[in-house]
Amino acid sequence: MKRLSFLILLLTFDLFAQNVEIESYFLKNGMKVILSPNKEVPSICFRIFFKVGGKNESPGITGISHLFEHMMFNGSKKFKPGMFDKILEENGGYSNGSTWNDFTNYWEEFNSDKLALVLEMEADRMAALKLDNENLEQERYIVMEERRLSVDNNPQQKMEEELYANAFVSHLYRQPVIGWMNDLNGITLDDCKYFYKTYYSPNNSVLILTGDFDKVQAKKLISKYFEKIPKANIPQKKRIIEPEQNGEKVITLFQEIELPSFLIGYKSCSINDSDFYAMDLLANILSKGLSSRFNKILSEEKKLITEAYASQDQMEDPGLFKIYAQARGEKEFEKLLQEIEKILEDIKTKGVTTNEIEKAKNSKVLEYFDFFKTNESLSFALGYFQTLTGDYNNLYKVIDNYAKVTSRDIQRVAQKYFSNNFRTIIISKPKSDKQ
Amino acid sequence: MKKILLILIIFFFSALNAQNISDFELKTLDNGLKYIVIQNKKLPLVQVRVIFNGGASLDPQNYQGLTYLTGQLLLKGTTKRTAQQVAEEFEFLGSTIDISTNFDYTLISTEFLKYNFQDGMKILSEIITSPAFESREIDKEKEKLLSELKSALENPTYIANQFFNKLLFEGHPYSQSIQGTIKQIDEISSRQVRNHYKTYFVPNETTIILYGDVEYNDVEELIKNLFSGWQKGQEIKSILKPVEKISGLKLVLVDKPGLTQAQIRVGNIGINQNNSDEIPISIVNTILGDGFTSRLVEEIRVKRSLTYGAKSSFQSYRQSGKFFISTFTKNQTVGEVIQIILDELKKLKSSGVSDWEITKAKNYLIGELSRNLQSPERFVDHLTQIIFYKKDKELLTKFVDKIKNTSREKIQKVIAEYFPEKDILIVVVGDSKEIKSQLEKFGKVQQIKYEILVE
Repeated sequence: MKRLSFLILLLTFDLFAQNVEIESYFLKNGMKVILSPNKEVPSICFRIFFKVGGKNESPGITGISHLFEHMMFNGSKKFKPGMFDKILEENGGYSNGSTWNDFTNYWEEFNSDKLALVLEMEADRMAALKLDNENLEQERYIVMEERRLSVDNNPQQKMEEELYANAFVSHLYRQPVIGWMNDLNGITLDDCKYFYKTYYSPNNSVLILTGDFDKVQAKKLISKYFEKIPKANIPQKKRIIEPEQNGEKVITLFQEIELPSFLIGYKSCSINDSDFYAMDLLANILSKGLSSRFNKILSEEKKLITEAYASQDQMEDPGLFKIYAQARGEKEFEKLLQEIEKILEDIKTKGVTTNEIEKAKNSKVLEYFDFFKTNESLSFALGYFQTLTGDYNNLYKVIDNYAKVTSRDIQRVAQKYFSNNFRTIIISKPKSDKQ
Repeated sequence: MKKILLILIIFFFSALNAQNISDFELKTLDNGLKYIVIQNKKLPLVQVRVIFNGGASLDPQNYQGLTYLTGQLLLKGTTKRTAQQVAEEFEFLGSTIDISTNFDYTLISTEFLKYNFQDGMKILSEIITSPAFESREIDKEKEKLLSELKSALENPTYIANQFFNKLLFEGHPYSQSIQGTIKQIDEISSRQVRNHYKTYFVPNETTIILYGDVEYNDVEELIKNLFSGWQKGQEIKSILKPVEKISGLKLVLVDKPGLTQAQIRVGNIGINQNNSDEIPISIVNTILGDGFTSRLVEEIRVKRSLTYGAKSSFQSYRQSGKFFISTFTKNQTVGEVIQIILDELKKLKSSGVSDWEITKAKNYLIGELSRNLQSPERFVDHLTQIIFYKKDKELLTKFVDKIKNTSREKIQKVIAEYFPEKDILIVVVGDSKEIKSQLEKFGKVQQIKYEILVE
């Protein structure tokens, strides 16, 4: 079968990317604005990124970024509690928000003729949120339910939480974005007020519009509603550099589960590190699809796993390269770690095949087009790259960055990062196994 | 409350026309295989869906999971390529393939870069028309499925959904487990799998849907070349079985010790895929439990902070369907949440809905459906449902008018007809010792162990 060279795919991608209209500028108060109009559907996506997330939280108030994200929907000076979503939904739209370690973002999609209204609502909650105990108490208990759902009663997520809490000693990636239950209980209104004043300022945000709007009119409206919001002094926090790990850490959890599993985290690199693309392709080679090494060896050949995945964190500061594997039983579990180590060792000594690397690159191109499918996905991509890498244009360099990776690079990063000294292992076993 | 005028939608037909779906006719090969090609050149991608009629309803009662297993095994080698070669060569194109099964069909979903479309379709046609079903591969797949079923028992959401179906459709194939059970998967033989494929995976019961950057003529030629040789089979005759609504209040507690939060499902029989009241029902359902401003979200989440999420849905199949409310709350407040749900169902019946709520729900649905046209996956999935269930094409081409023109009378009528009040199934998955007493105030509680899903 003829195989298309990856270079041709690259050219196609470049041609495609040139057709996406984008303009960006700053408001006088330091807010970054990115506009990308298109007329595919008569709808607009508004999105705003704030450069604040789990890693900005002091111990004792973990979870405040996410709790605050909830509070942003509960009323501001001009719009009563509950009106934000009601106005959007009655006008054919919806809204949502999400919080991560490095950022918080909010978005809405709505019919094209409602741009002025949405900008007015967004600017109002950015400048004059209704910050009171009623708002805080309402969302505190909702977030606790969210935590019970997504972590406390979810054995795999519990492992993720334990992994970060144990892998990092200094960097605040060790804190869960959803917050520790006791911290959620203790967050006060004053904590929220300080948080809002400090981080929800124009010079700490990026506004993105994608979809069916007129650029000239949109610029006028953005300036009308947002430019009057004053800039804030954002404290320049010291960048925390995680000290080098000097030995393997192993933690065993006993949970209400049927099958044993483990999650390994190797200290790895940041999204802005030149090693990132090699590590990300390596994760793909290890675990994406039926022809991946994990599936071929651990499932098909050795019949050890129900599932396994590898993933490289995409974070502003160095994150983890994670490997999760669930065994088919106790007997299989005993051999599993050794088999995974063999696979990593093989890559450290021999690298990966040309076929594997081409396959992973092709897969990345296809995944990459997901960013360009809808107004919603494009606005996320633009905001994400602007916030995490400092320039949304880096979105267009991603495919080139993958293209440059060679088998030698993958071998080199495997040797560099896959050391037992740099890893933390969370083992999860059925409660009934506990002696 | 002020009445809001229905917003003017600048017509979505512009978007629809751009996608050439006005000509939305299926073509048929001599062996009965149906296909449809729709061009959209925005991205250099092609979405592919292959839908086989039948689904898990075909599974014999004692061999649940047979259709699902057969579907998964399509990927495990053809008469020309081993399982490993299929995986290597298909995935080299950058694509992954998903095979899912529901009660009515098995569905293959994939996406190709346009340059790889022809190569991808060649492999796909082999997977579909000449799978090998080697015993070794069947055994391996069974073993994998067994451990996945075991692992699923860790998930309270999965357990709640399984029991709700099992109890709601009791005696009907829709009560069966689509992926099978640990005990029954073990019993399925290789011969059964081969026969199942031969009997039911036939061109005259299959439809291919292609959407994206393709040329009509090239694709027609390709489909003919790849699929004309596929032997026609017998028509599938669906066995229609009556579905009985739950009458009175049926309350079931599935004990799963150690949980700090309980999963709650409340509902009854809903509608089938061809119910002409689908739109008014969606409008009422949106008011009750869809979006961030629904009555359930308002009462359970916003006013009382008892949950992170509450939703009501109609999930429909060919013969029937289910209406269900799904939410979760900490052990201490399970009784309170169930009471709120029952009150809301009662209120819906007794007081109906306001004009403002109707307008809001209509606009919300129009907005959501319109945006779906932009996402290739969501658009093609919606199209696939319309084609497979032979639904009214206007649900795709004229949904704006259809939603706008739904009358208040129609809405009142569907509330009376389709939304339960006293005849209700409640399934709760949680730690019995923490929550049982709260449930007993609603009536007799039937307690079961989650482990019976193994059977």
